[in-house]
Amino acid sequence: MIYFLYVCLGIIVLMIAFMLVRVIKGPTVYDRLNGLSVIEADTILLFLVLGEIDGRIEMFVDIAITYAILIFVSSVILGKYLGGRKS
Amino acid sequence: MSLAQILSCVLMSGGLVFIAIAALGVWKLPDFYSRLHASGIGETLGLLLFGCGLVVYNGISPASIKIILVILAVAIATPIGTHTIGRTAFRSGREIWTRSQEKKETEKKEKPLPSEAEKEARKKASAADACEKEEKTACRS
Repeated sequence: MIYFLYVCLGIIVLMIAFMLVRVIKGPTVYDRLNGLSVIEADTILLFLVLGEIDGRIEMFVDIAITYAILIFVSSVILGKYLGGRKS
Repeated sequence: MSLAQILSCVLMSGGLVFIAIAALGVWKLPDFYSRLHASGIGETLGLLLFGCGLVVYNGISPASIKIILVILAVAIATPIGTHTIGRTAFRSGREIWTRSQEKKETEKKEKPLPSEAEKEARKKASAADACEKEEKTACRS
């Protein structure tokens, strides 16, 4: 089971690398925002898997809850801030 | 491996597949809206499946209740975030990608850049159009 968790960790890190390509290359601001939201969701999974490997899932889950609420607020506020601007 | 571990492995593999599809879509699809659609759907379902797998792996414990809280927060946050991004992009006037638009883009790439004389002619034409519009509005008012 622990090896399966290591494989999950590797795949998630690979996804984050692909999304970093999109964030750097993205032609518009909205593409960058989209890639950032995917990176944030993958980071939550990374926290959970790291906690499972480490054996102290309680602490890592607290961090993951905080991070989930934080990314919700940040994505909505960034969307509202960029909205309505004719570009 | 017990039955719960096998079930959690299956659920987590499903979640990883969906996350991989979402990442592939965001990486490779041609248009902004299609990329947004890939991320919004795949990410949400992948996170839900992966969290369910972790809950099954942990059994009944405070940690699994907290993981359910994380799942609920993500299931609310991700669709709202993608909806906000898509709405702002649509309001700021991004065009929706079609096949004909793709053809136009390739033609534009093949054509050489317009010379300065053509640019000036276009500016004059657009200025004339603006004057006509102003006159019309003046007549209406």
